[in-house]
Amino acid sequence: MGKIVGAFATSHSPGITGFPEMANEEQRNNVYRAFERVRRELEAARPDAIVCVSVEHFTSFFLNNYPAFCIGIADSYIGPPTPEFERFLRVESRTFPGHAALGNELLRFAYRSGFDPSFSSGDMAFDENFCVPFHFLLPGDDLVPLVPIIVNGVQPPLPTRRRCYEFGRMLARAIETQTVAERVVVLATGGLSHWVGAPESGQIDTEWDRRVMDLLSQGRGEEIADWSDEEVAAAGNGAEEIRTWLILAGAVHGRKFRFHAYEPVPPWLTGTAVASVEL
Amino acid sequence: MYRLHKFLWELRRNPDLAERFRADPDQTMRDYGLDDEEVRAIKEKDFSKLYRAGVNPYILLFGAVHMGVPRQEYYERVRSGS
Repeated sequence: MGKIVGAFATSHSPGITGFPEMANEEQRNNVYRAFERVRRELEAARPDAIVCVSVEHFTSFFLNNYPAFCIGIADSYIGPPTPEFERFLRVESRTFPGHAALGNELLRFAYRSGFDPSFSSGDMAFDENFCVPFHFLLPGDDLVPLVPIIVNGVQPPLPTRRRCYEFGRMLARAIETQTVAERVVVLATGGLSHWVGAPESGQIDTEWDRRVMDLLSQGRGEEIADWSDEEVAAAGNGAEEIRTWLILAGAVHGRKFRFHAYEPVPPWLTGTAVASVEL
Repeated sequence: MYRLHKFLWELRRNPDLAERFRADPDQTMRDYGLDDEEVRAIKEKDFSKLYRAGVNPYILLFGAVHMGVPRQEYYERVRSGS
C-alpha cells in the first residue's frame, strides 16, 4: 500500500532560473530559500517516486489532440528538450527516470474510477513546468523516478477546477491502493496570478494570490474549485494553472498548506509561491 | 486559425520551416496555407491584432521568439493596440 509522504507546490516561472538577476535580491533570496527548504523536506521524506503535476506549454502536446489530463507512463523524460530552451531557462538538459509501473497503476485506477486521462508512453518533454522546480528540488544525479501528470491550463476549453480537485482526490486513493511505490511525494507546479503573452503581462494580482493562499493555508482549497471562471480568468491566463494546485489540494483533501515564500515579482511575471502541505 | 497556430508552433520545432520562413516569409506562409490577413499580420509583427483575434498567447509568444523577435519587443507590440 502506498502513502503520500510529502506534498509540495511551487511556481515555475522561467525567470526563477532563466533571468534571476531581474528580480530584486531580497525577493529572489526568499524564493530560493523556500525552494531549499522544500528540497530538504522532500529528501527527508525519502520518496520511492514523485508524482509531479503541472501544465505544459505546447512543448509536447498541440491543438491537434490536447489532453484535459495526461498521465506519463514512460521510462524516461527529457527536459529541457532543446539547446535554445536550455539557454532560456539556464538549466542543463537532463534525462529524468520515469516510474512506468506506478504511472500504469495510477492510470488504470483512474479508468476504474470514472476518469479518462490520456497517457504518454514516450516523448513527453519537460519545459519550465518541471525543469525550473527540479533545478532546486532534484539537484543531484541520483534521481527519484517520476510520474508526470499534465492538466490543460493553457488552451480553452479547460477542464473545470472542480474536476481537477476530484482528480486529486482520486489520485490520493490511487496512490494508497497501488503496491509498486511505497513512499510517494506529490508535487504541483504553476501559478499563481500571471499573464503570459498578453498585454497585461507583468501585472500581478496580489489580492487574488492572497485569497488563494489564505484558503489553502486553512485547508479550504476545495472552495477555489467552485469559484467562477471569471474570478480566475481575472488573475491572468497563467492563473489557470491553479488547477495544478487544486489537484494537489484534492489529493491532501482538507490538509493545510504552509507557505514558505510569496513574492510578487513583475520581471518574472508571476506571483511566486512555494509551499508544503502539513500531512 | 488552426493553420496559423500550427505554423507558429512548428517554427520552433522544425528548423527547415524556420529557415524557409527567414528566406521567404511570404511564400513560406502561403505555402503553409495562411490567408492574406494572417500573412500580413505576421509580416508586420502585429501581435496585438493576432492576440485580439484569439491566437493562443503562449503559442503567439513562442512563435514570435522563434521569428527572432525579442521578448521585450513582443510585449511592447502586443500592448500597442490595446
